[in-house]
Amino acid sequence: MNLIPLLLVIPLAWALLSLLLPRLPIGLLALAGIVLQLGTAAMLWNNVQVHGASSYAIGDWVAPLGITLVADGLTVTLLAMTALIAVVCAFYAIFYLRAYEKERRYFWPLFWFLLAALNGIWLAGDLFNLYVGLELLTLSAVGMVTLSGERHALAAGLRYLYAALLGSLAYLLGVALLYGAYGTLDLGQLSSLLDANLMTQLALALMTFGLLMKTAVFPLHSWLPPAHGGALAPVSAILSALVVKSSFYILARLWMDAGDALMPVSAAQLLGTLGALAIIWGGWQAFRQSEIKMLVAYSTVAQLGYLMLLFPLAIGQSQQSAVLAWQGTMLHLLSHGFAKAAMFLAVGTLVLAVGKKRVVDMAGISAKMPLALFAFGLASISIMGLPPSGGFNAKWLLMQSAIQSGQWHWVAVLLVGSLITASYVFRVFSVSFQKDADPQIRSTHPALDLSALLLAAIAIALGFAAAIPVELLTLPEDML
Amino acid sequence: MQFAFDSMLGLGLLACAAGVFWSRDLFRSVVMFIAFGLLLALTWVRLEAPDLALAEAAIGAGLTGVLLLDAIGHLRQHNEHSPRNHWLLPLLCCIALALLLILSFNARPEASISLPQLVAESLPESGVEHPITAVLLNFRSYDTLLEIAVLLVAAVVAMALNDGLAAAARTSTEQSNRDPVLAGFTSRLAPVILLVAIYVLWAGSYMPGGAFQGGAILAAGLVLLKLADFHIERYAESLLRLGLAFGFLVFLAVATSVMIGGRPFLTYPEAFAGQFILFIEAVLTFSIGLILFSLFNQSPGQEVPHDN
Repeated sequence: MNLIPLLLVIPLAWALLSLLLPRLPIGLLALAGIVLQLGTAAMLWNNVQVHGASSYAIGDWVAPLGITLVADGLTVTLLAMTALIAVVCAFYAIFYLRAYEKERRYFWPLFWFLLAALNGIWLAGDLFNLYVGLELLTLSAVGMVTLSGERHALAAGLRYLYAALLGSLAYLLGVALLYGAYGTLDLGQLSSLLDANLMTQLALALMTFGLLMKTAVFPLHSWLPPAHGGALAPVSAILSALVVKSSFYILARLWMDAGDALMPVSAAQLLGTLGALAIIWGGWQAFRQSEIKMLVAYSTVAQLGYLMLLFPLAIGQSQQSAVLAWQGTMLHLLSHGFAKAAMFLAVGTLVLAVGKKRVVDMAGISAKMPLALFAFGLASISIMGLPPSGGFNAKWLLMQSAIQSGQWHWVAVLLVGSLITASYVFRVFSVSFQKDADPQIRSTHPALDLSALLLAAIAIALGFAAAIPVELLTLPEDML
Repeated sequence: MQFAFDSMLGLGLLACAAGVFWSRDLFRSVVMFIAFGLLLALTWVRLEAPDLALAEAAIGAGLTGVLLLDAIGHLRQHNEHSPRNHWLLPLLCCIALALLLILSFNARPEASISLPQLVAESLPESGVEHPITAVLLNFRSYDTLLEIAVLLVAAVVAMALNDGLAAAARTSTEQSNRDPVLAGFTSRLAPVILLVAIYVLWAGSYMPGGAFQGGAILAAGLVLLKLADFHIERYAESLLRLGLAFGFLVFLAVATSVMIGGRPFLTYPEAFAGQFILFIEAVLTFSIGLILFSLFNQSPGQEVPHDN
């Protein structure tokens, strides 16, 4: 039996299960389901490693008439990351949501729909199908942001919805133009057909704008911090680690598929500049935030900027530099996913224990909650890009790519970015290690600390085992 | 003559769009929006896309209009002023985009693949005679499956938002003040609406129509019943929730169960494709109707979001 459709059927079936049978212990059921999904993803990973990429025609209709799913090295890596982060977040959520009776009822169905959308996007080989996947993803993500029903969460969710819808519409208009021009929606076919003309370029520009909006790239980022910073801890973790990556993934696929011929170097440099500004602005804002969750949310804005460096380093540069940039970017995507999820989970535990949200409220917390703080610290190592960690390896690859292509300005951006990151991370540490403070804390379940620690450990482990995913991350074929 | 009609349609669309933006009163904006939707439906007819016209009229103009009017009612209760429009930047963006679109349309490359022709060639194998239905429920049924999931998620989010707020509000408006004229009219209209919905669903297999359009008509009927104070949803609250997910449940079950026979996901057995599609469409019509209705039904009563 082919494993590819299972990765869609499992989350969709579990979504229905947790929606229709809320009296069952849906948290535990979810854990079983997500372990099943993890196993399927691992087996698919193994298949791709042994037999190479495979495709799957849904309904037995081949493209362009039908929709084809594609499982290549990058896809299976992302599927595995999604399942791994989701399994830890689900475990965390079971204990965390004990304090949120009302929210628990709808958390699980939305969680599963979100996972189905993510798996669908990683596997999709069709532009319109990607749009549908993005819609499902956005709507479930917005629903999860507004779960608490508090005024600030509703406002953040609505803002998120408007921004995401504008992005969707721009993307859809681009898809319609490409369909009108080439008569197919299949990515594989389009990549060989695309040809430089005004309609194609307008379509690609519109899709790029829409996807930048959804990825919250500076200056289109203002919806992200309230949405990610205001949600429940496991929701923030999933949103920052996975959801914003999906639109970036589509953007990267699109640009690499279209290739040097269609994508002007100046546009690639512009995207890189936006990324650099995101790194600086996001870092500075993170440093200035008074609420600790907002600090972590702005850190996401900054870290998303590094992903944008892919474009100037890969478009119009040498083969070697492009390969390094591609590997570095994807490794950054992975390690940021694990590290940021760990950070949000750890911070969520701290806020739950202290009962207050500001950074200064965490004074003296190091003596009371050493494990959560340790998880935060481990994750920060990867976020800052210090060795040994996945974040370090990713930045090392990006830096090598920049040196190879002689673009020294991006080396400077990478270094400055790490310094700014260190400044806001150490702000949290300097407060939490104050000796004279004696914060009152509620006891939290040790499973919460354990989950954050596990994800942080994976982010660090990627520093030692980076070769495993990197080997699978080949470029789309026409770049090789 | 046709050119005159088309230009009037185009100008009318622009006028309505301008009206949406520049009306001082939110209520007038919404009315303009509904008019815009109706003109847009006519435009789709002129473009020979009757399926889109039906969907636009029923959902774009009809149900969205009802939801917007309902939302205005709540805004008025809380004395909130309409926000000021920042129209200059969007207007400039739209004009620039329109110019680029026109320019690029003139430089359009000749499409090397003709999908309509492929659809026509494969139509006999699809089990239905109407190409749109064949695309939606067979060739690209995976998209439709996910679209139904999107609709279901919308209903779930509405339920989640509503859960804390509405319980109190609903009981407070329990006493019935049924308008006899509206009630009498609605009770005679309801069976006809149901019949039309079923006809549109059935027609979908050989002409414009199908689950989305039928579902929208069903939803319109349910909304009308609720407005006339019939509240049939109260008789079966838990059944309503099952009904919302039922279409998706059946669709997913069919899509998955064919894999047991060794077929790929979402492949109908060749000989029975037509029956499978009609069955799936029937349950989808039911669920789409309920989902669209529940979006209206879930709108809050007197409560406002609480601060914490």
